[in-house]
Amino acid sequence: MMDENEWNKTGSAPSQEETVTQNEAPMSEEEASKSLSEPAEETSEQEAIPQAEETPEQAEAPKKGKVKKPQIPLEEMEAINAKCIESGEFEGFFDEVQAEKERKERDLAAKNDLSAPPDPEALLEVRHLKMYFPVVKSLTGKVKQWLRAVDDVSFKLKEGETLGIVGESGCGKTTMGRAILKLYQPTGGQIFFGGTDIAGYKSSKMRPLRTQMQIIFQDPYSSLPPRSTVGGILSEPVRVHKIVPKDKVKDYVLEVMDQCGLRDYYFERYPHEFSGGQRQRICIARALSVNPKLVVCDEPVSALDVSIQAQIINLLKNLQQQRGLTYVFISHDLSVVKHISDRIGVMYLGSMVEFGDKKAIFSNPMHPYTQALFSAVPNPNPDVKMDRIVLKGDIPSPVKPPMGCKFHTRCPKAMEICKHIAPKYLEYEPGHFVACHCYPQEVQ
Amino acid sequence: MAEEKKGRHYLTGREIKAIVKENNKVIRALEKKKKRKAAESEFLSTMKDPANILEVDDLHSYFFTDQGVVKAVNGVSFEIPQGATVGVVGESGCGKSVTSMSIMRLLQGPYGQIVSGNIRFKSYDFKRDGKGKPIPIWDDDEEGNPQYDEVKDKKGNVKKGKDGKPLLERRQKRDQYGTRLFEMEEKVFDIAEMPTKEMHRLRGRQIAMIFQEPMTSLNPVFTIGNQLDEVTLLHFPGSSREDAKRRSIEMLNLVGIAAPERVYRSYPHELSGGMRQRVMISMALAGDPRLIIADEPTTALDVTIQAQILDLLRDLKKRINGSILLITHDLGIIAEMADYVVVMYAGRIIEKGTASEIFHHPMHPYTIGLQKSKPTMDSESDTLFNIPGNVPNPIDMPDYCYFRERCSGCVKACFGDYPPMVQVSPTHYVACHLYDKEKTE
Ligand SMILES: Nc1ncnc2c1ncn2[C@@H]1O[C@H](COP(=O)(O)OP(=O)(O)OP(=O)(O)O)[C@@H](O)[C@H]1O
Ligand SMILES: Nc1ncnc2c1ncn2[C@@H]1O[C@H](COP(=O)(O)OP(=O)(O)O)[C@@H](O)[C@H]1O
Ligand code: SF4
Ligand code: SF4
Ligand SMILES: [Mg+2]
Ligand SMILES: [Mg+2]
Repeated sequence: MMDENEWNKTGSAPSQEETVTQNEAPMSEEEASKSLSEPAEETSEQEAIPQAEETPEQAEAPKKGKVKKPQIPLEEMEAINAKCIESGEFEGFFDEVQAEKERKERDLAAKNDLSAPPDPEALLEVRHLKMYFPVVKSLTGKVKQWLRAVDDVSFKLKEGETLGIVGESGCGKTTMGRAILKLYQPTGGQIFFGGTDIAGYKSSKMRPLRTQMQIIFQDPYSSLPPRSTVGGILSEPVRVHKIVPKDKVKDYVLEVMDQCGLRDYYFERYPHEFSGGQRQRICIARALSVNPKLVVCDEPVSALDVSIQAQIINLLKNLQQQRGLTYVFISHDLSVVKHISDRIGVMYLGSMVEFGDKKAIFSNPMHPYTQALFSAVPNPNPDVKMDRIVLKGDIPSPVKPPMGCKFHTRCPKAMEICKHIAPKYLEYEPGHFVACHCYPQEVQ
Repeated sequence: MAEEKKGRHYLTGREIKAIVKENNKVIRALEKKKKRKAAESEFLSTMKDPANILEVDDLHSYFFTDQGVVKAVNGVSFEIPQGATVGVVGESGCGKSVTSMSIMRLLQGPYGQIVSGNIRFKSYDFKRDGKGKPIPIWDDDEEGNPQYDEVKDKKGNVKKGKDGKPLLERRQKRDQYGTRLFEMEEKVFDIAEMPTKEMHRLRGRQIAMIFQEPMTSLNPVFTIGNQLDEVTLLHFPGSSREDAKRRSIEMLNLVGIAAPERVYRSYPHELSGGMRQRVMISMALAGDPRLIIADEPTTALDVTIQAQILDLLRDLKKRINGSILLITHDLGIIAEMADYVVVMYAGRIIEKGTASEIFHHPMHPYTIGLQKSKPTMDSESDTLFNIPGNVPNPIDMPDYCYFRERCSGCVKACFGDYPPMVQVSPTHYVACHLYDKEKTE
């Protein structure tokens, strides 16, 4: 169990004020999309609070007088683990003290990275991004347990490129996408957007950036306000952000609609009159109407059927070419991501387990989880009956992720060492990162 | 009036009133038929081919809405051979679910109705004696002498008669899960003709259904065990709570749940999506069905869990020797699972055949387009093919080929009537003028 003080030791703790923002319920899709299009109210701003995330050394002093829990002997840990795996309760074994120690070591090692200047070539550079949510609170309101939805994710993305993020539901894809856009206040790490670290920005400071970063949600049904016409939905952000002069708004919106394959007479119609595919086009048009540079697409086609999926993917690709957009494209289906991405990142339980060029990932998937994802995609040829790697069980809870390699409870290649020591995230080919003990743990 | 309607996107109040009046008349007649008392002979039928378990013949299921009649299923015919998996594909709104709901007789009444057609199902039901009671199969010893067991109550205590002696009952044969066995007989029912009251003999027992969203079909206030037991108690006469629990746990085991006892005591919300879908499948299996209808069983799940569930369904089909009607919009799933494939478009079947025929020699332009638009892992090209345009308005279907506006291979005949179903091989049928022999010659 961790109390606030202990939490501070890890160095990535939010300050008191930030904790308050943490505790707010996550924004619903509608709210979130609203906050993207509307400036925040003036009253909610308190510029005085320094925002930068503490680096690990800042809260280093160990707390005295706290008796450490004895560490459970290895054999016992293994026995428990084996039992968990066998019984299908894939919780794995969890040792709070040990896990805390490992996180601290990891954060210390990350210190160098964090002080380096950002890569000038990257439009978006994410370093050691963390997003924790409080789950269990004591009676006094102190957080006793954290859900680590995103735990130490790093990547770079060049302008005009698409990063595909894949992983099962619950692995933290959406949270990461929202944290990048600052729809959540990240718990730790850096987000360089166009060379400046926006991780600590308050909402007022974010406002001018809002037009440059947009999001498209998974569910085209709930993310559109039911009582406005399509024209109203699309005009509002254009007007609020003063993208074009007032008298040109309608023409501009009609032009965007045309680009997104929406007919002009849809302008006066309401969202419920449209099919899923058409609604998703409306969402895309709304995101693009403010001329963003970066668009996070959160499972934009998962709720649609195959023939519509193809339409939407092609539309996104065309728009990217026309406008030089940069995408973070989130999906659980590798075959969808393949058609749009330049880079691919595979996430598992809050961490990036593999990252690389599309070619590298598809020709040489190295991580056992990536391999399993590959074999999970149904093959549309009835004669190819492939030997599929079926992963057992579900993704474990991010509140108590398994020790060592988080994937070891389901990994078909798990070894002894995987249960105890987390593999390092290392670059094995230029630009191809993997975290797995199957590969040498020394940097070449 | 039809002329007038073309240009407008709305109906006037008077038009709607006329439609409602007409609808009510039809609905009333159909509802009356469903509520009637009927002797079994009225809905007994015979199979065209005894190897089939289900034959759907020219089925029409409509929705009588205030805007007009939606012909959601408009003349659908296909069959499911015993032991086979038949896949139904098509984009959303094409009538896949309405077809399966018609087979289960679960259309949303009174607006949704089976208007005409036959659904013949080979039922394998308890043989009943004169009083309508199922006839037990006794577990006698080798010489044919009846054996007796003590009767136990719910708590497992021996029940005593008035004279204080333990009550005895004749020993009945039981299946591997401990459920009592009865004599069975085969009958063919026409589901479309059955009164609603009679459907309980089939629904949930001989035909079971797995839905897309397991959370909406499980009751949140009862434990999984409660809901599973219910199936056994309802469908197997003479089952005690103990029998039911044993069967339930066996079923959970069967679907690969590693801790069945724990899941048995859980509430639906305590389980993950994949687990809930497994529970749904175990519930479908508990009735010992001969036909399982799986309506988009994995659409709400992500790829890894989908792989688990498909694996399970494949494995189960072998074990229970049943048939599966698998509905999905994902051709990849169909390719992996199905023996036969039915392709639907706007309420009609446009092509059907064996899986290998449909995947290696698709003939209908829509099937070909559907296959090309599926993002695949091994294709090299970067742009995906997509079929242009949209499905026609379901209230105002044209009288020519429904796919014409989107079709790239139109011929002269396409501007004439709706194309008939043409047989191109013993198992392969297609409804498209390109294959219409007399006309192309
Ligand atoms: N309530 C409504 N009022 C007016 N038009 C509607 C209404 N609902 C649907 N439509 C129109 O009917 C057509 C078909 O819609 P439908 O929802 O059946 O599409 P779909 O095939 O299910 O698409 P998707 O797979 O993208 O959901 C569309 O052109 C849509 O705009
Ligand atoms: N309750 C209902 N009322 C009116 N129309 C309905 C209803 N349910 C389905 N439909 C219509 O029936 C058609 C087929 O729907 P459905 O079978 O659910 O499609 P799917 O192939 O996606 O399963 C669609 O045009 C749909 O709008
Ligand atoms: S580190 Fe071990 S458990 Fe983790 S993915 Fe690699 S082999 Fe599997
Ligand atoms: S009948 Fe004609 S319009 Fe219809 S699918 Fe065939 S070729 Fe195309
Ligand atoms: Mg998500
Ligand atoms: Mg459906």
